[in-house]
Amino acid sequence: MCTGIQLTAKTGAVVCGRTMEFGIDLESYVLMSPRDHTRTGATPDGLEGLRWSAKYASVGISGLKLDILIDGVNEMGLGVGIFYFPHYVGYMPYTPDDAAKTIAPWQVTSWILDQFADVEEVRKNIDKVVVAAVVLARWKIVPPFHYVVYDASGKSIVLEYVGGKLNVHENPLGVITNSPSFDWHMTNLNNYLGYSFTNRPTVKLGPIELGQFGDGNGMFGLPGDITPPSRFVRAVAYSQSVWQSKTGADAVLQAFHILNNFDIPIGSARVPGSKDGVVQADYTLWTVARDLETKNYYFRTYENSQIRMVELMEMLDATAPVKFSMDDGEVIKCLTPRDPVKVGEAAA
Amino acid sequence: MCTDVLIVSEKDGQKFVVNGRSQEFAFPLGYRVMFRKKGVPVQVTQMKKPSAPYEAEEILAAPIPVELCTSRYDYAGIMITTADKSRTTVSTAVFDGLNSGGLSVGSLNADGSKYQPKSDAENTDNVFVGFFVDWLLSNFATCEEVKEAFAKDQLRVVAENVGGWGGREVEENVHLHYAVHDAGGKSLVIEFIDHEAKLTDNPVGVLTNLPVFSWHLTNLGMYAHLSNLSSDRAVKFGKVAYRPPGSLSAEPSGIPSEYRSTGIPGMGDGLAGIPGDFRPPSRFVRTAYMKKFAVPPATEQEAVSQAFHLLNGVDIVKGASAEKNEEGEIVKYDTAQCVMVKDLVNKVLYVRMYESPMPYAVSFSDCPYFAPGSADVAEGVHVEIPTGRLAAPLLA
Repeated sequence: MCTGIQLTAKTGAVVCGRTMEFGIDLESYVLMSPRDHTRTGATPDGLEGLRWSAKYASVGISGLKLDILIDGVNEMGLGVGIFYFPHYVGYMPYTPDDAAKTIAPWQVTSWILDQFADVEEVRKNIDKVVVAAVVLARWKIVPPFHYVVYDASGKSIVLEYVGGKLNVHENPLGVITNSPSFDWHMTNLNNYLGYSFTNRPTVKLGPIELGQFGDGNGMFGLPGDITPPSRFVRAVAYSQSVWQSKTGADAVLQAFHILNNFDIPIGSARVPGSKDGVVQADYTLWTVARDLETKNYYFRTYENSQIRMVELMEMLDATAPVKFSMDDGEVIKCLTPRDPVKVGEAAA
Repeated sequence: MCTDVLIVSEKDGQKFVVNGRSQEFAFPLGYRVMFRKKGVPVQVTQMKKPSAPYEAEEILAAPIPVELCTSRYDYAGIMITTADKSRTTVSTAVFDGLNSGGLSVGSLNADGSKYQPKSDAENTDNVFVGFFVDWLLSNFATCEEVKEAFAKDQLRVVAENVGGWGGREVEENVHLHYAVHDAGGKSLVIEFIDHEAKLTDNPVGVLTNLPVFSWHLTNLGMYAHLSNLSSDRAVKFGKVAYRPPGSLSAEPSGIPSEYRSTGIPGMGDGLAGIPGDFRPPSRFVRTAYMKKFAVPPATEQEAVSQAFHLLNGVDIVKGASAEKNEEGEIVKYDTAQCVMVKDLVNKVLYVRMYESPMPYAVSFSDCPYFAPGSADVAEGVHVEIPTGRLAAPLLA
């Protein structure tokens, strides 16, 4: 499960961010994928799929020991993310004749980041590729995904494969979560008409007057749970109500503040049953912000809330992929007069 | 705004199929029950487009008679009149009804509906949307027959009309989708979206208003946690334990009294969170889950009674849903003006008006107009629905 939002600063800089929740470790690391890097599509029957070479360099988060980005930004300021889309996904039909234009669901993000500069280009080209139901060997299932694309002008679309057909949805508010399909969530917003970013006035009932307990009652009843529809409504409420940031850098910090509301502690979203005696629980593995103006990629992890960053534009000369570890414990700044210590090492 | 619900149950080989619907409107209207006889031409009226500016009197004064078809079934439906019940408003066509073949049809509000383009094909009937309920009740007995007529393009529902109203004028004022049920217990939703007819089997037997039907079906899943059972689970916060619904557990003792919950002990906490307002999605969820939890009726009487009870859950008390005019004065109240319950197996129509809690019933089997030898009336025969009576006297 995941939540994605979009902000635009007064300077016009577009920043989009997301959380990534999962019940198991995705073995994530940050990956800079260089220009001219070639990738080959995976197909349902193991034939060699579509081969493509990267026109653009990109940076983002990779994992699962796959040479792809799960989430990232490219040098043209295109931001793309994979989101989980269970029960509703239905990838395109595939025959071996399609092999040379076929890719697997987890390859869509890199296929887009490697080749396109803006949302319009993605829209024009997305139907040229067959996204087929390919089993991800490590999970032994066809992973159910949908995708969000943002560009530096602030345009956004959501790509969903449902019933074997590609649906391209306009995403005017830049928000995405998970199932059901994106158009359902947008319609669902109509249920929250009358919500207000401003406190509601007092109400007279006969001889008494009712007033608020505290600030924020304009959004009393906003769904607070972590189901996808509730997170979608809440993500719209926060990303639309937040005061516009001055600069892209401010918007990055603002994005992390908003995404704090979607930071799921481990244990509060448990999967029924257990696998090998281990109860799984969905939790926020990592949270990122993509600055589509500077192409800086910001991230933090469940284990380390310090925001870290990679500057893609400083690495355009790279000729091979560059990996950065995300594994790190929390660094707590100690104010007593000695050097910063790492938790767990303090005793040593 | 309206709510439609179908109840289907079976006991000892006997099937009960009962359809209830409420009719909400925000301006005062009257209602009459209209009867149409099998084998008789169905003549309905259509109001003529007046010369501008529109004057209500002119619109109402000279309705144009239209011969729709010859009915293959007896049917009874509800037509709308002026508030004083002196004459029909839009048309003598019905908006809801039941036929002797066991087909029940209701039209419900759906803003933004766009009807089909007219077809010139010889075997296609182009039916004006205002007459669609009469057409269905005149010609079909089952949902399958209705689906087949659309699938073969034998039937189109169009905004074109003989009254001289433009298609856009019609679509601005007549925005409807349809609940169709048959005596076999099948249920169908007909929507007109972007000038296409969308027919969907209705697996839950509930329909309200916007948004599109498929959205509501998905939305039902958001309430899968609702239960008709009270929870006996205690929730503990450290030493403080609560038992639903919000009452503080007796154990452990010695809990400071300020921790006491404001909850009122009672049953029904399994339904906590069910949406209680009158928006279409909320009425849909409430009606669908209440119906799901309702004990299956074992007699005809239980089925009819259950339909009224389910519709009571969406009965909009006059005042609870108001509209203001530009001066900020409240001028309109959306109210459940009329509630109908139709027994599709036994062919009985029950109707209850807002002003009076007493339902009135018409059984097809003892309706004089449906009896052999009664005179044919192309204009239809209609009767007033009484509103003045609060209750039947106990000591008659």
